[in-house]
Amino acid sequence: MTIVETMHDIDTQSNMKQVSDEIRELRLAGNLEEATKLCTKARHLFPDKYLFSIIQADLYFQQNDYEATFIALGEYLKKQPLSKNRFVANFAKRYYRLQQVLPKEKLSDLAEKLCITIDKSSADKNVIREVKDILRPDMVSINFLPEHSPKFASFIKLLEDDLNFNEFTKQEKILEKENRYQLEQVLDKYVLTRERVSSTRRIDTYCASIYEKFEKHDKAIKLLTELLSVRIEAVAARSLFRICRTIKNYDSVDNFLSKNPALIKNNDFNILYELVYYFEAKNDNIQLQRVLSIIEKSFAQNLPILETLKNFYIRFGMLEEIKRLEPTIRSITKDKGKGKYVEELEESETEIASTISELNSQLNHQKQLVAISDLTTGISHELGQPITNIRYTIQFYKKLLEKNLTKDSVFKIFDSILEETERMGALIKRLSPLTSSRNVLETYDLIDRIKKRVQLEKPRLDDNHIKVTIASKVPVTVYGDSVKFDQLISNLLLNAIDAIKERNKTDKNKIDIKVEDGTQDVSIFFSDNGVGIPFKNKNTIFDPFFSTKAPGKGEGLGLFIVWNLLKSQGGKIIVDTSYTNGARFIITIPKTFNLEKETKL
Amino acid sequence: MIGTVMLVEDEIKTADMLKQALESEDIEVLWVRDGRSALQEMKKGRFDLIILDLKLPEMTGDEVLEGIRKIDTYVSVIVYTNYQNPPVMQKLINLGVERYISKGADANLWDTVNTVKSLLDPFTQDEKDELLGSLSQGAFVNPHKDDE
Repeated sequence: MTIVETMHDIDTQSNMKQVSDEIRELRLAGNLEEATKLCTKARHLFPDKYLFSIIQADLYFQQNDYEATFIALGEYLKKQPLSKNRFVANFAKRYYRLQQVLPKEKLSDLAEKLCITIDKSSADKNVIREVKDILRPDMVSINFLPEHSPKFASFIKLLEDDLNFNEFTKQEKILEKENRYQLEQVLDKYVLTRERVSSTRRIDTYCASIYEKFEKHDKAIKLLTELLSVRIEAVAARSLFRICRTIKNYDSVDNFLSKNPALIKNNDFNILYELVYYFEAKNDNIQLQRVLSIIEKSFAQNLPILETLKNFYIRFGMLEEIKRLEPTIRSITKDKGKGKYVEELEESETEIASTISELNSQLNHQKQLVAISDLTTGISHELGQPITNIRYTIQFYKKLLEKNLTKDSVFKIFDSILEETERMGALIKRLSPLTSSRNVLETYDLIDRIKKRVQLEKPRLDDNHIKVTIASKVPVTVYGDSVKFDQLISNLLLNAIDAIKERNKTDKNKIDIKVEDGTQDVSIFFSDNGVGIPFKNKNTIFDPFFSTKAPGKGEGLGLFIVWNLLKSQGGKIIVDTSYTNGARFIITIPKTFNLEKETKL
Repeated sequence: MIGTVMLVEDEIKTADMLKQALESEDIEVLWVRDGRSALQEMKKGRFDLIILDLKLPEMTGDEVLEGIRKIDTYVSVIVYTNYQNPPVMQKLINLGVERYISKGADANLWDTVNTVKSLLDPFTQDEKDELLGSLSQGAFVNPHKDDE
């Protein structure tokens, strides 16, 4: 009677010990065959214990059956480790013994198989990583000669020409599954370093995607960059962008684009898709918006692309664009309607969009509260000064007049008080662009308006030796509120003059205004060579009463007013952070102002 | 003249009214419009009291006070402003201020003047007489009396 048969009566722990003792006795007696049998049984009895898998590996090793040893080790590695370090050390000890006895090529082959087995299993992720580190030197052995291996010899032949591309991909898929690491070695040797010629273009491009799959990003980038330097192809360009996005480093793309700037104008969706991420990473809002609008225009009827575009809009919190896109998506979906599923999908998406919109409005609300608080503090301070003056004046003269009252002194008081009320009025006037709701809409020439504003500020510009250049020869007509546009330009001019004054130099002071007429929007690039805006102030400069100037030298309302004027007109203003010779604002104004749409916001 | 006050205030009309009011009460006033001038004046001579606005061009009030305290640890300082900023207030208290006076809607010229007077001269004439009267006879020996 063996112990195994009685094990049901005794607890597992002591049973395991008894079984392993019995196996050991058989081993010591030289009865390896019986020991192996018993060990196999034990493995089935204790399926979640790794002890018997490792004993079995040792038994196979003792019998010089190395392939079986590897399989047993594979079984062992799939088990749950108690202590990771000891678990891996147990394996390493056995693997070292195998290294001593096996020829390199055999070892490499078995190591690779083991690697693929554990990769596919549910083994502990950390264990897999450490075991791979142990196996790697053998898998990519320098002694491995693929030409001599029958599996690879024909594959290497196929690599030479695109003619048998289909056969190449078929074999590649098999090798990738069974000899991943050796495959990589072969590619390194035969593809990575060769010259890029048109007869192997398809294979080379395909190999870049294999490298990408293997997460060998450097090699993939090398391959793609070389391919693109010979000929620009959308597939390769797209892959290059995608890899750079994955590794969060766009250096290679930058390099490529500097040589091929025209790619930015490419209309292939896959490229446009990558360009969105690229410009997001580059923090280039203008280009980002441009790309998104190209996608929207060029693929107006393509449902999957529109869905992708919508996800982009969600990602960038562009709620208006989402709202604009939704009816189109819905109408296309209805045409192709697939019953219930579509409706459900639609419902859940609407839900997501509304959640995002809600979150956004909460965030905006918070921002608004802060802005209101800043505004109130600022206004109360600005009003505090004239109020103090009025009170002091009245209080002073009231006491004085108790004794003697003259006409002169009374007039002095009246004048003083009137002056102070004018000061209060001036503050209200300054804030009026924010509060006035009248929208006088008309068609006007934007260039003409800018020129008139510059003319009005001429005395101040001349005082500070500032030269203004307006770079646009043809009129740019816009339909909108021309008065608000005037206020916008005046505020920008005053802001620029102050920035230049602060720079405190009298030579080469300049303001450059460039207007770009687009299909839907007009972009104004407004630059000055004043003190500039530190990056950290990029967003706060539009806050009310934000000013870097000394108190009394600027109340910090100019850019806040500009921002609000644009908001009410459906436009936008951003700081061009790439501009370092002073400050540059990029303003976009819609060419046709849709009052109904804007007032709904 | 019951004392010399330095008024640090950038707002012309406010300063003008306060200066005249203080002078009408026999207080000498030196008016400066920014922190730099205030510190220069501090180095030149002694003041009995400083009236300091907190919102000033270039140097802010608290920075000016820091400078003042380096020159004179004991001079009385009144800060007055229509702008409250708790972190700054804490700094001011630590540097040492005698009074805090609000401007703006609460501004009261003669209350301000009275505050200044009370700091310059803590006792009224009656209080002084009473105080002197409470001293025992012969507490002060008048050397001239012996000569007569």
